[in-house]
Amino acid sequence: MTKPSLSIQKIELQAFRAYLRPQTLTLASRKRPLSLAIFGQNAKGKSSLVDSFEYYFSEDGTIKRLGKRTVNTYAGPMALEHVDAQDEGIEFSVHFWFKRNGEKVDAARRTDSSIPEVAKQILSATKIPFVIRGYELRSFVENTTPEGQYKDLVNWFGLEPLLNIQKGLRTLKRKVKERTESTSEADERSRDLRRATDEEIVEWNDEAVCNWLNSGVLANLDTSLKFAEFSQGDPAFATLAARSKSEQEELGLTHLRKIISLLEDLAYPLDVTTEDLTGKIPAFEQAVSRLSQAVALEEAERSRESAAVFSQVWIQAQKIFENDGLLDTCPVCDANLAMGPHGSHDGVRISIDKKLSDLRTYLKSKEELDHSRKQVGVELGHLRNSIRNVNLELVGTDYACAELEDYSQALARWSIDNELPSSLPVVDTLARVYFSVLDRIEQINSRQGEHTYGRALDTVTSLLGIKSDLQRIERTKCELRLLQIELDRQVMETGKAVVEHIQSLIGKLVGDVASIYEDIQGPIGKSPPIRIELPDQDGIHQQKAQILIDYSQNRQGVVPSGYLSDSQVHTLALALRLAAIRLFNSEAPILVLDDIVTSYDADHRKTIARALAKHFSDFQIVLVTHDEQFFNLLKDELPESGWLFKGIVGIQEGFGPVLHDHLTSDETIQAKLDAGENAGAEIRQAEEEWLLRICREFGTKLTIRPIDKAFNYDRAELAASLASFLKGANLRVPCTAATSNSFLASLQSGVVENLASHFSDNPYKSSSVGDEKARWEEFKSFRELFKCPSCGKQRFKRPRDLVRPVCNKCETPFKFSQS
Amino acid sequence: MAQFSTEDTGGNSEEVLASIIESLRQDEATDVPLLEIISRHVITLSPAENAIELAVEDIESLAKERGEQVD
Repeated sequence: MTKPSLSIQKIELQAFRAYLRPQTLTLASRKRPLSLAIFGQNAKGKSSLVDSFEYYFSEDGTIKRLGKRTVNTYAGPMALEHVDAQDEGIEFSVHFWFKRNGEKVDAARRTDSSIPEVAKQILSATKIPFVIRGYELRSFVENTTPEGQYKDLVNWFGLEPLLNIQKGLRTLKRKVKERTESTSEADERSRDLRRATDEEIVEWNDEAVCNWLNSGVLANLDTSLKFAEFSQGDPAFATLAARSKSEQEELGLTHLRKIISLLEDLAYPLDVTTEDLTGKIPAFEQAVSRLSQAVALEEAERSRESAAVFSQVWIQAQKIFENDGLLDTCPVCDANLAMGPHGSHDGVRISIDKKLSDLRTYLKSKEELDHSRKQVGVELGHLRNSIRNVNLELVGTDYACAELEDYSQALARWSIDNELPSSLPVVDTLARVYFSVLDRIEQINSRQGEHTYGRALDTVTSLLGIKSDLQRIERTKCELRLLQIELDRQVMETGKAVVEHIQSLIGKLVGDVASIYEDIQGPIGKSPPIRIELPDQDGIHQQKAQILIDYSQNRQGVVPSGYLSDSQVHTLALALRLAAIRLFNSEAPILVLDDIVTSYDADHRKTIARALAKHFSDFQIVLVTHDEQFFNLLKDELPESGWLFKGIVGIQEGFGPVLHDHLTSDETIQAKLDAGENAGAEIRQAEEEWLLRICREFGTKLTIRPIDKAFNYDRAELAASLASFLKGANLRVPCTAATSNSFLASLQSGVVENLASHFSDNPYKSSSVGDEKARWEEFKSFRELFKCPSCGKQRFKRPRDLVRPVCNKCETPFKFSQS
Repeated sequence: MAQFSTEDTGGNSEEVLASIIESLRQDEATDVPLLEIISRHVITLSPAENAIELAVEDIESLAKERGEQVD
């Protein structure tokens, strides 16, 4: 199986951070992905490029240091947009082009747009964040608390979601514990118990309840009637229920209660004027109201149905429209479609679709009407049945009422086209009957006094309900306690698994971390064994981690910052991150580095450059730095064929960072000269770049510079150094044909020319394009002299013990071919 | 508990969670309905804003349901 491939082909930024006008960075050459190194001083826009990665691949559409976007913050595109974007009318856009498994895919992310699909897919392949910022490494050096280190590890390994889950589980545990300990529901039932027993019993107790019931309630009716145990199964309950029933029948209460129930079935509540009536009467009236609305809607929609015949015509014509391509004339009436109201074949089609859509709306309203009609019939049937039942109970009693019968007759005659019979008079009558019956019941009850079997049964039933509820509440509490214990276990296991996961990640990385660490720190910087100490079983819920090293035999498990220098701790952090990215992101080999060398001296900057070349040759790297020395070292250590080196020369107002290729190409100069433009600056730049390289490769001697410009060698200095070296090595530069260039002549003679006299004796006079062309040709001829006499390659090296340089490839000692 | 394994999960949180839940599910001692509640609401990469409240409600309902079963 071939390894999946992914590379960035191009990035285009506009109105993003420092970039106002659109700028494109092409990161591919001849189908090969290129890595990119950018040098720029602080506040010149180099980090904006890194921000573009973070924004493009951010689920929340923001970058970490801005925080999450909320109503009250300006995080997200608003903060990332160039301040002049709106005034200039330039739309915010971060656009990436990718090549994935041979296929090109691109997407722009604009203001408020969600994460592009391609970014989402790449994120799913990148298991951990691939942007490393120098300040994060710095914070790791300074952040020595276990909580801080845990957070760093969580961020670096993309474990923030797991951290949030752990937090969520802890909150859940606390909430469930609170619920388990809550007594509010049981307290409420205990209050009911106190009320039911006239404050005699405060807490449920079967025996106490039995005693209270037998002596305080049942003894007033029949001293022989006693509960042996308080339950529905006790024989006393059956006796009490039977006596209550016969008491009710004897007193006519059963009949009266039935009337109350039937009246409430018709309309309830009857004691107040309310729109929230329930029962058969309001149900019927609501059905009629819905029917009226459905009738109106159907009428409105029906007017559109006049075109229904059109539907049939369309069905016939549709096949012709769909199959026969574009039509000029109507297949039904032969009218010229271009001359008709819709103007074309497509116009007719759109109009027909609209009409058919109207018909669909009508069909829906018709269905609603049919359903409403049916529902009115159903509700009417229910209402008339209920009225019949009430009449049957009332007939022959003092409560019989003619209004109810009249209402029933009116309903029988009613049809949808007629006005609905008003229910107000009959509801008034029913209310009158209702309250009369209630009064009657009350009279009977008061005549019977406090002690009736009915009331005793109500008390027993209420107490049985309280008992049942309390038992249920206790069982639920018991189950909740069990669930709480199990929840604690599952949360503990989850926490343990998360910690194990982190531990496992670290374990997998140890070898690679050591390798990268040693490559950066050099032969004397052997990596101390690293381990992460996480909380033990009891403290598994704590979000703490301590990174420890075994510094020496007698200093095992010590904190790195106590024994390692800042740069070593920095290296440890960098090695951890790099090793993790290399191990886990192999399916999306992209690495973005933002100013990662602030803690290092020159030697370590060089070893970092080498470590990148060694460990990340199969990654596409985007690196920005404000450190020119590091930038130059990168150019020495990284293969030119796979890298682009660019410098930011400044920020141009109304444009953004101005980037230029750090190595001035021959093609760039030739193109300018061919176009008749001055290329003096570029020629000087190319000469300086070549001089710097050849001096490095030949190992020429340079005077140690003042500290304020330690690595900015000027051109004259380099030329002098080269001339001196050539002279010392007895390498005489041959004369090139037609050379009248004082600079080259000075190199030949070993005396360096006046820098201002490159193109003219008068430093204030601009050189002509002709002068520049001649100068360029002379320089190229001169440069050609520096090639391997054996293989013709132009790269050299000079091991310390050799006087003359040798070819970097075939190691043939260098000499000028004409000397 | 069945051994939680990070062998194939790399650093991918989604896979880690799936593996944690699965290993808990395989454990005979695990109360699976409870696990389903916490994995639905809390052990997920995209929890609802009121995920904890929803989980508490579901746990209470589960306790109530089990309490009713004794009746």
